Amino acid sequence: MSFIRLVEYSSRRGVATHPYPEKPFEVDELYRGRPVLDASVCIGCGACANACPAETIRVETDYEKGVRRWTICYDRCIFCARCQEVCPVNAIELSREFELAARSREDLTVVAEFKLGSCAKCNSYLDVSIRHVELAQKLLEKSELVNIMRELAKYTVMCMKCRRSFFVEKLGEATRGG
Amino acid sequence: MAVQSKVVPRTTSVEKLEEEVRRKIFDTLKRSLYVLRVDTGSCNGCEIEIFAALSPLYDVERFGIKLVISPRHADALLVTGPVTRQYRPVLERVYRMTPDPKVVIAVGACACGGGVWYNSFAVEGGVDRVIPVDVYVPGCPPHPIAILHGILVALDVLKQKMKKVSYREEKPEKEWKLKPPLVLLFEEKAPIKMSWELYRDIVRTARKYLGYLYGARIAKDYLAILGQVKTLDELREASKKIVEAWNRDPRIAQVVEELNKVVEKYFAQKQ
Repeated sequence: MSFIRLVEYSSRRGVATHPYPEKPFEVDELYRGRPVLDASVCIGCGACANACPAETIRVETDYEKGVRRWTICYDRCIFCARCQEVCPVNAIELSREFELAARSREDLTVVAEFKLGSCAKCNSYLDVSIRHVELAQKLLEKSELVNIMRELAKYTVMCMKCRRSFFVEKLGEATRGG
Repeated sequence: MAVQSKVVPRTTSVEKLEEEVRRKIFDTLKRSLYVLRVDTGSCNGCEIEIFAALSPLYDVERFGIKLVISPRHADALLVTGPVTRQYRPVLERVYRMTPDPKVVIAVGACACGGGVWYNSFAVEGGVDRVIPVDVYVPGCPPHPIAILHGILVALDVLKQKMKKVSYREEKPEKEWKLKPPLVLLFEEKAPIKMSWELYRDIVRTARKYLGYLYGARIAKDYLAILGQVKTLDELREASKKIVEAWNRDPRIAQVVEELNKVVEKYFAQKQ
């Protein structure tokens, strides 16, 4: 009897198979799919490259071309959302796209290039992008460190060598003065 | 019977498409597409998803795709795992044993590029370092539908959706913009002037209790409210909206209470 009931039940319930290629498959709202970079927001700081467990996000500084190059190849991305967690400007977020099959690795790559800032003293390239310097200055304006803020803002537009020499100069002035 | 409403009705067009795929496979092979699953040191996450793809909900067999256990029968190899050094000769032998023409599909982050073990001494780091790969299916593990999509891309039934994207900055002054919640820090019209330290404390407190995803959402809503109110009493009243938006979840209420304390403590210290 129970078998007949089962047949009756399944015929009443219909086919459970999802009509996939015909209709798009709806995944859960919190599904972690492809991480998408919003290149108009990114500052190229490299926090995501530091956090990425599979090291599939890379940030390199190209001093010859004067760009900061952000690359991701989705082939070994494990969709852990660490990049979304650490991003200071919320530029990278995980979407719900999951149909990532591709015939070559080239198709799975995203590249974004940001121009490097230049040093205010020696005019050589900085290690960070123009956007990064701009954000640092904006945040310093909003900071409570009012007294040393202006001093710190000078350091943001200098390369490491000029920073060092500038600091030593300042230190010399302070000790001579005192 | 509540489950019944979730069943997506199958149309005649999807059956037609399945028939087309079956016809296409039959015309070239004179039988079903036989797929061999090769586990080259996988954690079995991808295997679970491959078997889920065989379940009635996704059902790859409706396209005439069938799992076999011998490489001599196989037309396609579904390779998972980062290819351990021990498994490399076996994978090469399996590839040689498979009769031509054959398709190799790398399933999962490990098979595509080595995953988190890509530079380990014990693995080769990806199937394509050993045998040529036709289709990559990234994911850790990939969704059963993604595996099905990968097989259908390999059969030229569906088109791949991914494409290389490259972005190049031309005018850095104009192209850059800020996104919420960080843009709320630079709001000019806000009655309460916010500092970077207050912003940081709010975001960190919300994250500490709720994690990165919900924490960021609550912090975003809270900062939006903070940008509109004039006094701290108003803030206390307005922040109840967040709790009500979350169906008066007691956990959210507690976190909002903590955020209110952070703001009050900050302004008490300032005075």
